[in-house]
Amino acid sequence: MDYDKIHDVDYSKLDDTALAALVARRDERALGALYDRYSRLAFSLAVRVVGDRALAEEITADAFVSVWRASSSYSEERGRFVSWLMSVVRHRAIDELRRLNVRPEGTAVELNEALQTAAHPDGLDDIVDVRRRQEVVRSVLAGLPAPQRQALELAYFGGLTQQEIAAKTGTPLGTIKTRMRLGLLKMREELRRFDDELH
Amino acid sequence: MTEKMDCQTAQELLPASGLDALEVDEELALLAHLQACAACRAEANALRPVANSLGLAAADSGQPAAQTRLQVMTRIGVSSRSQAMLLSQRRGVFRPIAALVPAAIALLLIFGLSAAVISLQGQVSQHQARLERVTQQQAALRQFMLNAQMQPVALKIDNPDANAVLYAADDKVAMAVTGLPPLAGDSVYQCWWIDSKTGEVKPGSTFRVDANGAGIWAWTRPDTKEYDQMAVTLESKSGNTQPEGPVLIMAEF
Repeated sequence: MDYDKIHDVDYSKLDDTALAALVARRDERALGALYDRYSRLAFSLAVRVVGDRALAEEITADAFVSVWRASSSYSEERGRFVSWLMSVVRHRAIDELRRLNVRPEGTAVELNEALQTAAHPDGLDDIVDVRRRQEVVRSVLAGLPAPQRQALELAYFGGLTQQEIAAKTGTPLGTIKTRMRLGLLKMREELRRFDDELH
Repeated sequence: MTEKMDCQTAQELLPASGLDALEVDEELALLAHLQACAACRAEANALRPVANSLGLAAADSGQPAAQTRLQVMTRIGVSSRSQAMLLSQRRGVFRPIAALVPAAIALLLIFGLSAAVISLQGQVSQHQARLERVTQQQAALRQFMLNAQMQPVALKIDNPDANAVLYAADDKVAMAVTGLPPLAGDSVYQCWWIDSKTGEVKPGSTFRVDANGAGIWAWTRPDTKEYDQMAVTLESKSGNTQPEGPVLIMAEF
């Protein structure tokens, strides 16, 4: 891509990889486009972890600033941009959660609410892909046995270790390990199937 | 945990590692295995995005407030202008460093390696062969961090039994410690960001250590321009807005 001739391009039509590359070249409009595309997802994850909208907005902002600062460390080989972004948001949110010493009760995702598709910007392949992937993840999670789903949610959204989950739920540690492993492997299997169908 | 981990054990731990749900000693042992095993490392790299995809399951909470976008653009605008000259100089010198901080697992590997190096240091007099390996690891660690533009930071450690290393980049720091005293009751270790010019102190993350007083953390720096020092204190409880306990570790960036 000839980056020097991109000034007239509609950034909202560029794919994530191109935008991330432009961010690495300190293109503020590219970050703005990624923000417009994914801030809602990032904010929703932050809300899910910390349970506070104001704090989640702060986390969302910090995450995008982190993306800006660390953009040179991202490459497509690392996986999808949105996966990287979610990782940044999640770690920032868990960090905040621990700072506040607040542990969420790990309530299960409200599936009826979760299955309602969020409004998204206009259709790019990445957006459509993320939206469909979102449905797959939610569907798989909903289809897992409740104990497996609980183990994954307490680890991912609550930032708890396996030992902490075992203590919190009064379940043997070995059982938690098994549930977590089976749950995540099931998730991988379904996402692989999704990717195979997609490509 | 000093015994070498086999691939079967590693494979069993990888899903939890992808969710950051392992205890520190398990993570360290796993990371040591991943360093030597390309197959398990590939599996780890494959599982991490799967774990991250769980974030997509969060229920829609709508859009963040409009000023959040403005805040982001303002912050990166300031950052961009202040770094423009430096970046223009770097661009001709440095290649993109995609391989240097390739994924969270790689970063964790380095942090884990750092702590592993520290924990091994007390045993090197009895294990000369291990000393050689540790030295090689330290060199590799140092090179990796330098390549990743993370620089070692000199520390003042006010505890003879404790050891720590800290690496810093513009936007983050990574710290590994061992030998910190065990925590009692509600007490926590807490990080503080300090503006030495004004004396302003901003509370950072609290953390706990394992049975060996060890742990590994990575934190986002709040503002590299203002907060030029970092301290770790022992606090009687979390939630303090100002440090009340003794300073155990002090860093100056």
